[in-house]
Amino acid sequence: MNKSTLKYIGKRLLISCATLLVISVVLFLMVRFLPGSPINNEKLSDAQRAIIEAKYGLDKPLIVQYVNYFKNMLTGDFGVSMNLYKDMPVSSLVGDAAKISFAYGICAVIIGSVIGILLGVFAALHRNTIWDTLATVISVIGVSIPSFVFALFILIFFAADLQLIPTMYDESQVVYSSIMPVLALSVGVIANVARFTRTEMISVLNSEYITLAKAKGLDGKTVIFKHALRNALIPVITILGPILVNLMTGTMVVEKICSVPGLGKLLINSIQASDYNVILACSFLYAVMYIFMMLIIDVSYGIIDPRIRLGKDD
Amino acid sequence: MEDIKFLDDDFQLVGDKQDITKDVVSPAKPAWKDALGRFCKNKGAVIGCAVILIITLLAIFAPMFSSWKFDAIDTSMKNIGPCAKHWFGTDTYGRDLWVRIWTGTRYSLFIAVVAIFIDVVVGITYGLISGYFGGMVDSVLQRIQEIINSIPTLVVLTLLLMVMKSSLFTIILALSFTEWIGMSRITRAQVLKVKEDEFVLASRTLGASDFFIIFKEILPNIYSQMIIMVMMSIPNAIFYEAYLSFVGLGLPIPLASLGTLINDGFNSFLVYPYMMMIPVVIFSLLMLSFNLFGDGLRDALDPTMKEM
Amino acid sequence: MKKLLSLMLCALMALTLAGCGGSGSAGKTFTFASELDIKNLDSSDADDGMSFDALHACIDGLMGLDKDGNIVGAIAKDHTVSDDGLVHTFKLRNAKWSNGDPVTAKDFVYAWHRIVKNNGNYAYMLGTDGAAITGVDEIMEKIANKEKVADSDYDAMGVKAVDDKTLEVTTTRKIDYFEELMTFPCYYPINQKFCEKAGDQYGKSAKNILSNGAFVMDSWSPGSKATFKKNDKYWNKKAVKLDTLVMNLVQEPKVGATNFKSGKNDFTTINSELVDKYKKDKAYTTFGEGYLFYLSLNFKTKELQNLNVRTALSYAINRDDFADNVLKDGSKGATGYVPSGLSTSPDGKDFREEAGTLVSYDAAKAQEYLDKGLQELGVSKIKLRLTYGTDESPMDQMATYLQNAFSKLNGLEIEMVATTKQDRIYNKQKNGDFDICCTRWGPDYADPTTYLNLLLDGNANNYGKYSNAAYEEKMNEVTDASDAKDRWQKMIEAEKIAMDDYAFIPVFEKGAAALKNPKVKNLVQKAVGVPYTFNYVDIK
Repeated sequence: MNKSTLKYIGKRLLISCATLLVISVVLFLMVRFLPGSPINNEKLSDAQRAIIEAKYGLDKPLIVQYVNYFKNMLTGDFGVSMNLYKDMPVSSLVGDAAKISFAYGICAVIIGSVIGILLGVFAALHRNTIWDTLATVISVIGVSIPSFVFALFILIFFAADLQLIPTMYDESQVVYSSIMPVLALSVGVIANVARFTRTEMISVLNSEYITLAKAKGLDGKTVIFKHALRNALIPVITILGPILVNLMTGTMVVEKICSVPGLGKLLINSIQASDYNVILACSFLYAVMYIFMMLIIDVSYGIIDPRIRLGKDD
Repeated sequence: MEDIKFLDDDFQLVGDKQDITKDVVSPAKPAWKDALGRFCKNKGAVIGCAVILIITLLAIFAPMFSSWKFDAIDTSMKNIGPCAKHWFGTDTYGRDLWVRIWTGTRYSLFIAVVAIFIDVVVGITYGLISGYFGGMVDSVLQRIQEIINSIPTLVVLTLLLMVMKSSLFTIILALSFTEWIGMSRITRAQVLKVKEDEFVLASRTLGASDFFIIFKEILPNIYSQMIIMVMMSIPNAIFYEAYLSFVGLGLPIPLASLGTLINDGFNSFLVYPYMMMIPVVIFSLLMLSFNLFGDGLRDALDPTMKEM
Repeated sequence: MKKLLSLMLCALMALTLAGCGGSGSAGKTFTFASELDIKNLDSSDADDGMSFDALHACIDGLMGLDKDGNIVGAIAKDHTVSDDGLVHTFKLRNAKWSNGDPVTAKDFVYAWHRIVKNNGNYAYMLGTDGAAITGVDEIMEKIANKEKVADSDYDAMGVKAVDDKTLEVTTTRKIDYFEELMTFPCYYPINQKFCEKAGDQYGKSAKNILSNGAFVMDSWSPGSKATFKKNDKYWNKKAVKLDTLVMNLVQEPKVGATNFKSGKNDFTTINSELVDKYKKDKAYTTFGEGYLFYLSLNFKTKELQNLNVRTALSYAINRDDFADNVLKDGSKGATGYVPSGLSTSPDGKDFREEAGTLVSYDAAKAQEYLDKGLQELGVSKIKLRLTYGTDESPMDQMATYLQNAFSKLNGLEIEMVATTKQDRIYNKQKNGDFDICCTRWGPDYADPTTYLNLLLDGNANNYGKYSNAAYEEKMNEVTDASDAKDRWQKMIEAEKIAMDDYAFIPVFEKGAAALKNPKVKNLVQKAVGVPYTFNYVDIK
């Protein structure tokens, strides 16, 4: 890593932080403009509502509320839930949910990448055969159709009466019941990775150094795995961006379908309950993840291929 | 002077062979024909195009030619599986699903197309202004765009619809709020590239106004990329609409879209799988077809663009 | 990169393994699957059914239920009422908290003071709208006006510990259903020492709740599960047959149902979509939930001021068809404004049974009345908005059905306004920005007035601004009635006045369907107050 790379990373970090600050304001305002309020028991009198609002500081001017919220946020205190889980600290609620979502995401990426790479390599090695066509069809389908549709199909085929394997999240058997949702999520990853690996692999296999390696008398396996695959895989990192973003959207809907108590479900529930602090924490976490991912991808582009470095705008 | 007499066979009629030396490697064809040729060679794209056409036609005409109404409740004929009378069966309220599903497809397509149309208008305008005027205007506009772009789409959509209340109009509005950024980026990049070209300079020297340059010189240069972008955005919009229905922010009762139909079917799929199955299949077909069609279109219109 | 990856994998493994820890338990275990989560175990703040269930498993109030659902003394051994009906004296039995402290009258005084002090969600239950305890309204008014409330104000409150085992409650008016009220969680005792030590964490975790009831809370992880163990110090521990009680949060009824089938839980509620699948199962049961779903009409809307239009709307709804064929979950078409199974007359008869059927379906009559109404209004067509919340199932089903039913009438156009529950109540209804609104009301106590009071001029929940002098007068007579039978008769008459006027249009009484292990006995289910009492559950 040379100096200019570091400088570039520093600059991107700074911009990201500034963006997050603006996002926190935008989210805060949007949440406060939601119709209704977290205090939604219709049997409360106006006076009682006023007292509860005072308890949560909702009676202060917006700007004061925001400053307070922001100050607490910096110390890791995201306030308490006002409606969903009365007075429970949001950080633990969101933390628990995020753990599940992250685990799902990471599993889906790992499973998806492994299967995707295998499929891609296989297709590249058997170019223009029926296997290649099959792999292409699979990846086109996987890329075009969102993961929740796969989750629905899995539900139809596995859940109906067969009961081979649980399709919905179940507290009593977390790992077992997570297999299906994770698989549904990984289909998109498999498709993207396979498609990309195949293209890269073909171009690497056609390159001169592979011909040289073959000419040197190295056996087929060494050529493929030691020389070709390695070089073909490095650029795969460039498609991580779209994959991760897809995954984020995917988990939100799949969580809903498979009833997984993850971040997406918590966000949806909190929005429906107008639970201000929970909505804020969840959507802010999403924004942080998103921006962080973009940052990593940009920076890794720069490191892998300095030509792409985005020193200047666009 | 000696009299020279020409004989009949001294000369040969050249006829129409004057152009014999002309090199004919490829016949001149207008660009669109060229693109069409490339497009037709791509089997997937043609199939995709055909499926989109068929689904669109069904969505428009199927409800018109049926005796059922999409929102007519009749509990005496609820939960009937697909049969000769109800081709797709009926739902839990006894509404005919053949009509309901095609009406829903119609709404989904309508929402997607209108939202993308607004996207294109907003995106192009934004990109043009940002790119053409540059400087301070550009910086400010780009920062705003960056911020909007860095809040995840689903979060923005959900919050927007919670604030605005879901209806046909607000769903379209919310969807247009999120997809225009891609459009504006492409436009801006293209404007930056074209701006300094000689033909624009020439136009300017001849006294053309900003407005004229933008519309006559720059826009025609980006249309192919725009078309590709539009084709890629439509399935996105259809997906987001379905997502919103799943979160409970879909079209208000009794309207239907593919998303609300899938969601309704999801609630009863254990007992009546067909209620979910049929809309899911149509939804998947649409997504797949638009992607294939978009891919084919991209290869045809812009062969240099590398697939990513 | 490799390191990072292995680190992530490790974290993942740890996470998944943590989730695997099964619970091995001996003895009789009852597993209750719920779609809703326990929110809060602080009896002065809790306001939802699931929290009530958990709270009641841990804490006994003055009065409780026997295994047939009848009201009996719990912590109170004996209850006497003064002749004017305003002073209630409770003699407490020798009960103990699970930390060994005795349950005293002071625990009640502390809890009741606390709910008023904190202005908990159910503080109004101590005021005129509920138990009408002396001094409460005055304190609440002071709090509302941001005036300082002195200790002397609390001392003046009508709840006193005469000695450790005697509690005296003074009310401002005679309340016939006082014993029934005392089963409600907001009147539960709180151990002052324990509560003050826990501070604002009281009732927020398993170790911050002290039990004097059938069970002690063993563990509680919000969003998934709570377990309870039998309380050895419970005064009535002989009646408790279970060793362990488990409450599982299963948000998806489908999961609950499949788990039930594989024996992972003993009780789970199912939604109407699943009813078709399970209705022939011998585990299938239905019961009333006590909620009445009705249409609130805005009397500021010109068209709705017309009685014929209101009558037409009511006749247009085929309530039984909707309940039996669409909802299918044991819901019943409403026949009046006070739901069935809510309260029994002094003669032991259900209110609904005595008041009879006041609304019905007749499409032809509906059209007839509408035509008459349109003629009176001098228009050929009216347009009304139908407001409903999309997040309050089955409100969306109700709206779907009603839209169709109303649209069948010639001359009536319905515009659907979809919104959320909060927006419906606080923006639309409160500001009178609605024509017809899908609403529901759950009873606070088992007396018809919990519904009838809603129609009084000036009632905070009378969003439609219905006002009828004859009705006001009848309701005053109900309040002043000295004889229980006379009062009952007056209430029936009052309901008749309101329904003849179509002040509200009742639609259906919510029911619920569930799968219950046939071996499970004595699960007490109530439409009012605490939904489920687990104290007597036995598995045979």
